[in-house]
Amino acid sequence: MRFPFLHSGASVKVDRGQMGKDNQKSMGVARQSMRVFGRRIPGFVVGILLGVVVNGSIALLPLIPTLLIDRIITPALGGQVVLSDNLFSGFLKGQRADDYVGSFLILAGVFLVLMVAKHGVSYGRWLLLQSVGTKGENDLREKVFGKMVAQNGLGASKYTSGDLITICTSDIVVVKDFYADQVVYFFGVLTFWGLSAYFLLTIHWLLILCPLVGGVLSLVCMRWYTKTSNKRYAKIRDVSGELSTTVQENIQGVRVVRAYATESIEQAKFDKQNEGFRQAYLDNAKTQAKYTTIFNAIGSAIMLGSMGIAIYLALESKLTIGQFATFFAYINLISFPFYTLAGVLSEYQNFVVSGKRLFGFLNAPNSIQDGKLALQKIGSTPSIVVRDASVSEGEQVLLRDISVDLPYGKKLGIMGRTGSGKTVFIKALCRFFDMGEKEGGVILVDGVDVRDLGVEEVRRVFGYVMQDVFLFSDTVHNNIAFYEPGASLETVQKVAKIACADLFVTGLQDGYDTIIGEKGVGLSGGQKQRLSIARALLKNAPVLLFDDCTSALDMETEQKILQGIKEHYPDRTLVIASHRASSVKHCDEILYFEDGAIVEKGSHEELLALGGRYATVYQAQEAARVDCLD
Amino acid sequence: MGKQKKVQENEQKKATVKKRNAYYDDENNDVKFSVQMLKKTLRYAVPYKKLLVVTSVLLFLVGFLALVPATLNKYVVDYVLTKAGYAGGSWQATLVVVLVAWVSIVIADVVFSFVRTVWMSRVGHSIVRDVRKDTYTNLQKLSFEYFDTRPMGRTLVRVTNYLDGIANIFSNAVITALVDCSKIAMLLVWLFVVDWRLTLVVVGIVVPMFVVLIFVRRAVVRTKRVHRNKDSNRTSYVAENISGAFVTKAFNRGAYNAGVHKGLCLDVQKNWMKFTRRHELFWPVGDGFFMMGTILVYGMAIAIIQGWMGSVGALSVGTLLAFVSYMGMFASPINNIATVMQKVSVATSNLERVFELAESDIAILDKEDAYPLPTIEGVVKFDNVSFAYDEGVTILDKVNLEVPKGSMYALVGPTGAGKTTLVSLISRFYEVESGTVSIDGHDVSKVTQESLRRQVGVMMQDSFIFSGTILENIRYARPEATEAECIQAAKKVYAHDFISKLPQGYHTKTLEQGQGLSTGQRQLISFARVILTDPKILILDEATSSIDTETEAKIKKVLEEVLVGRTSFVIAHRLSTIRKADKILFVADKGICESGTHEQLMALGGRYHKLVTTHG
Repeated sequence: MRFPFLHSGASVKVDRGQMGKDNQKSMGVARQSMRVFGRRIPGFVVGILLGVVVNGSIALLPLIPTLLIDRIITPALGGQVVLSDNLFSGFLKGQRADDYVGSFLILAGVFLVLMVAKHGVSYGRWLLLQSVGTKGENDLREKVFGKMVAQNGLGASKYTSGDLITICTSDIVVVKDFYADQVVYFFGVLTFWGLSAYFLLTIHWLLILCPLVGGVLSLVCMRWYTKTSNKRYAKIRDVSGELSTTVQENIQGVRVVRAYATESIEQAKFDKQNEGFRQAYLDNAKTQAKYTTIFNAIGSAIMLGSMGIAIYLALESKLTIGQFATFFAYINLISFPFYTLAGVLSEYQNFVVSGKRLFGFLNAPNSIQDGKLALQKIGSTPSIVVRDASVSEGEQVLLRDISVDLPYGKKLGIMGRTGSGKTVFIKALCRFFDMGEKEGGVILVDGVDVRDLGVEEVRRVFGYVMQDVFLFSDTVHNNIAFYEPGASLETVQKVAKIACADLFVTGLQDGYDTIIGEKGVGLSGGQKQRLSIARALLKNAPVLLFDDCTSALDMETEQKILQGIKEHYPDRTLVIASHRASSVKHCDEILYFEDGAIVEKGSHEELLALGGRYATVYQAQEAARVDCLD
Repeated sequence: MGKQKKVQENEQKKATVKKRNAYYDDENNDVKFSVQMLKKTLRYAVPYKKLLVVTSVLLFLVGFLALVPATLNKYVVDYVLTKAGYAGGSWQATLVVVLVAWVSIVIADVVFSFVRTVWMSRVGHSIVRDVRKDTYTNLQKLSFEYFDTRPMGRTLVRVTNYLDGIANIFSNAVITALVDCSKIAMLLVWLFVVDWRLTLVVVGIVVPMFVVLIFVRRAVVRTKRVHRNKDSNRTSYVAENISGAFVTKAFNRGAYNAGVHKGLCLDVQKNWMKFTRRHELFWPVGDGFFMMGTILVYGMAIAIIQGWMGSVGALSVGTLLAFVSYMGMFASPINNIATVMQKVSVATSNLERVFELAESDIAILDKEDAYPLPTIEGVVKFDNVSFAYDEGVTILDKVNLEVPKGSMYALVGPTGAGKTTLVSLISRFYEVESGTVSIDGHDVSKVTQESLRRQVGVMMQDSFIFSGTILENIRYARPEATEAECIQAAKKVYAHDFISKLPQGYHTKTLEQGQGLSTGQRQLISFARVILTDPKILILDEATSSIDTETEAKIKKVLEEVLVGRTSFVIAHRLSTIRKADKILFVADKGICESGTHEQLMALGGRYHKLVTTHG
């Protein structure tokens, strides 16, 4: 009798003692996942125990046909009644030896009851395990997602979005499946092996010989296999990552691709990677096929060898024919898992690789942490002092010794060439960069080092309009009300009006309920910038940070927005980084950045009098304007 | 309380707005799995039919060989163990023959399986490669609207993850299932030969089992489809949060978004459990029928022995054992078929998605008789051009415009008035509703898109940077360009300065989406990119908005050189950039409402005049 439990993915987890070097790392993954799954463990254990019960009953079922043959069929055909006793012979106690039909009905009844019970328990077990498994999966997802959007989570540079997507879409599932399928299957196999070995031993000890030898042989093969398949999987990961990045960029950069008519180039790039992808899978399939063959051969050898021994024993009259039949059932149970070994091992590899990446991400250190005064609140009129602030990333120095005072209500303008550090400065204010030990410098809010404060508390203070607009694929309303989900239409409309967005929004098909695409595609650059400004205004923060966020607006609109902000938020601190002198000239103080350092500092008039870089830029722009007015 | 209510209302609103596809909208999928779809799938198998036939034959052989051992058992039980010997031979001779036969069968089985596995995975992965390729090819032809109206994650998984699972279906499952069906047929015939009475019992079991399994499958497919939708919602939400993580952090929205994410996860889980409850029925049904069959065969055997079936031949223990062994052989193919049905159910819902993408209507197609646009001079003409994104929302209404070759036209006007739309029509990024756009008298809708776009250079607001190196990004549209040419182009747009300061200069790796470069730097790189292609028509759409004044002043000079001999359209908000234009178009109110040189428009005293005088 062959056993139809292929459906659990046809695979077994392997004894962890055999994994050699990988053992260490995989145990790490196992331990860590167990920690995450903590409160799911009881359900999981119950599932496994139920599984043992189910598999146990599968292993018991072949005992009934033994009785059917030895007690009914053989004597009915005129042979000798063989009193091979086993677990179920008790049911036939008191039966007349020649009441074949009665005996059959009893045994058939026991068999059917056992079968129905087995499937009932088994079905319940799968539901339980899937329920526990998906709950555990959700625990993991929550952790990963939380880390991704956490205030002090990693900088985006370390993990590409492709990595993160892989972690979320595939790694988590692999880890879950490993527990919900493989581990459970492993225990199932152990049950089979244990019971089969026991019953074979009760028949004759020699029958267990071949399975033992085969088991040792396959352990050796497993080590080889693990090594090779490790490499194959690493390759598959690599090419799959490349392919994913190519497709992603092709989608995100669709406008560039179309504009340059580079579809054929993109296609060629993709085709190459697509072929590489296939090749990697084929190589892996070959390795698997090879080892599957080896394991198959071992399984078959166990069968044949045991068969020989059984025939010998039967000829020596040490086995009844019924026992001979039972032996077949059990030897099948023992050798079947060997046929699935290669598949199981590769699942295990998969688990280790996915688990490592997943937990690598979860354990990655946060460079930006809540400080010791994390619970301290910042007042509603914060004043900020920046002293000798420096920021560097690797070799590159991004900010050098920046010092500036930002008492509440001050309007600060920042000018400087592309890449001069304006954005880094603004990001440093809201702790997207922290001063490191070696760079020195400090940013104080109301006299407290921002590094001592909670990250979320610091960012609460700033209404930040980014240079690159990112909008979510959601309604205009929800995009503007990003800080305060559920904000009323009045609130949303109020800020939209200040940001000069109301007019075009009401012109959209569904007004504020129009769903806009990711990155706000479908809107023009200026429209996106205006929504982004409205979004920051709705936050109603004491400090407004405008990072070159009016570049795509016409001058008319830009001035109107700035005017509106001055009217509605007269007392707020305002930091404007811009390329247009007209945007910053009314500020109390203007900084001119170059290579991450402040090279000029002063009011508009002072800087003009200085006759330096700011003056040059201002005059150039002014000349253009005056030109226009001729 | 109040806030909660608002959120609720918001949720309701979400339900009613379905114009575009946000993460909380289930996708409507027009394509349903059907015979037609099966045909489509099979078409991909055609190129590999030789390999498929050979492997199928191998599978038959393996299947056939697997039938033999149980008969060998019969001989062991009936002729060896009883020491009777077969057909007058000694029992030892019988044993030797049986063992030799057995060993050869095992060897053949192992070898065949190896070859089969390798070949099948070749077929499977080749087919997946082909489907993926076709999907990607179609992706290259879809309109902006397709991309604008759905989250990127949804499209991405169709080309990547969804197809991964399908490989196995092609490589193993389907063929195995087909062969398993025939194996079952073979088995039935074989059983019939061994003992027709017992066979009747088997048939009585197998037929109803299939009927039940088919019903289960239906339920599984239905629930899986719902689950897939929910899963896709979650994926797109996650993908979006990855791209927008910076915004989320700046707005302290992490916890809220985590809440939304949790809701999506629970939704997925709920539907997964719904699916599991049906899915897990396959095995109990299959196995239950099989077990019942086994016990019935014993019952039948007893009935025969008891003579209830009339005196119709004897029955040996060996025969009975062989028969039960054969019944055991049903388990594997039946189980396989059940598994395949499960897998196919899952794959079907993925495949639907993939095919939907592979066959999405291409909004802008080359006409059948499209011809390549000959080398152009650069005369652009708009003849009564009207355009609307959505039906009824007209953006441009009967625009007429004639631009002589080599002239520079500047477009100004309020944001969202349609400046970008107007110039997009020249590259045929969108299809006009009525009227024609032509270049040198060639209607742009009648020439091939590639030949058109190769000659029209566009630089957009979004300067997308691909991962690779700076050099690769500059030569993106002309991969054959030498490094010297690229540096030349970079120098022209004053990008050389900052590039050469980078750690590895032109070979500096660019990160995803140009992270690590400032917006201005990205714009300079894409400016170099467009200059390198040397187009006759050049469209600059706010291309230099984030470039500092110093660099822009230089670029302005460059523009004067670069634009010579090219027809150019410049959208900019800096008057300094546009005042030298040969003609300035003021775009508003669904068309061009003022046009002329700077001086003419200033003299006109209209909207342009107002715009210029309020500046500063």
